[in-house]
Amino acid sequence: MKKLKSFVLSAGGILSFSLLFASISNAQDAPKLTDPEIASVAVTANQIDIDYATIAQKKSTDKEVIRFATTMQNDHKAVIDMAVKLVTKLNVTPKTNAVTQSLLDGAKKTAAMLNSKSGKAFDKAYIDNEVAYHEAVIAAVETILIPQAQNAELKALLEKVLPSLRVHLEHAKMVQKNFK
Amino acid sequence: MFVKYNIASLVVLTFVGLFLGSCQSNSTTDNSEATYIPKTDTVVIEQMTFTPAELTAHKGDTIIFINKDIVAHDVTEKGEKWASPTLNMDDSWSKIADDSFDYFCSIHVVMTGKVKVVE
Repeated sequence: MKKLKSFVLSAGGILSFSLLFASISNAQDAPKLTDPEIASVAVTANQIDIDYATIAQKKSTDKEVIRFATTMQNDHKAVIDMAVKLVTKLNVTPKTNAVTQSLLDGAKKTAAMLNSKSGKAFDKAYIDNEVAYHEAVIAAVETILIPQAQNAELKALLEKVLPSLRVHLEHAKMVQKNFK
Repeated sequence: MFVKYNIASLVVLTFVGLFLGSCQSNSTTDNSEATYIPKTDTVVIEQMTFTPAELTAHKGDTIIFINKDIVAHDVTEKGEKWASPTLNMDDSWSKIADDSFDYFCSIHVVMTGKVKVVE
């Protein structure tokens, strides 16, 4: 809960996204998602981080920030490709839902915030957001998406993605130390 | 008695001779075992870790790195003296063990491993 509060405070731009996670402490209030909705949330969450990385590629000149952003672009694209392959195989069409919309609303605000900054201020804002975003996404995958996924292959894919999200978070925290 | 003793001695000597011959034969086998035949060691990259994270290999062994993750990885020497190409899912890359080295994935810099090379 402390982590979630910290996330809400540190990432005002993705406040609407945080509302989703504020409900995690009360399991009965967590959004109920079908497999097509989970697929939509998963693909959207990955695409949002690719979009943040694209902004970083354009605005940053810091070697470590650019390296991290490149990794985010490639890794999240690989996850989307796997997800698309799976939903095609399962004949499932990802279904936009309130959580997807919340993610997109938050991403729009965060992108505007990032685009308003430059230099070291941008690098710090980008990395701070990456730490907060990955913490929030890991919490969502662990407590909402994996438990609610009905299809075994979809559940397995989400479980397979979790270690890479944790490594991304560790990597982001390592880069973040340069901007303290 | 003397003759008997000598015959007995001959019998004993014959057995000793046969035993020594046998030992010599074993000794030849030991020599062939002393010549180390290089083997292949495998490091699997899965769940964002190198497994085993610490490997002991003999000089001349071949170390194969196999990526089983969805995302791409590489194997980069700690001082960046050398690096593997990018390994996509199910790609592998091998290296002959010459000296001990620490390594990391330059794509995910928090992933690290060690290879200790012994003679």
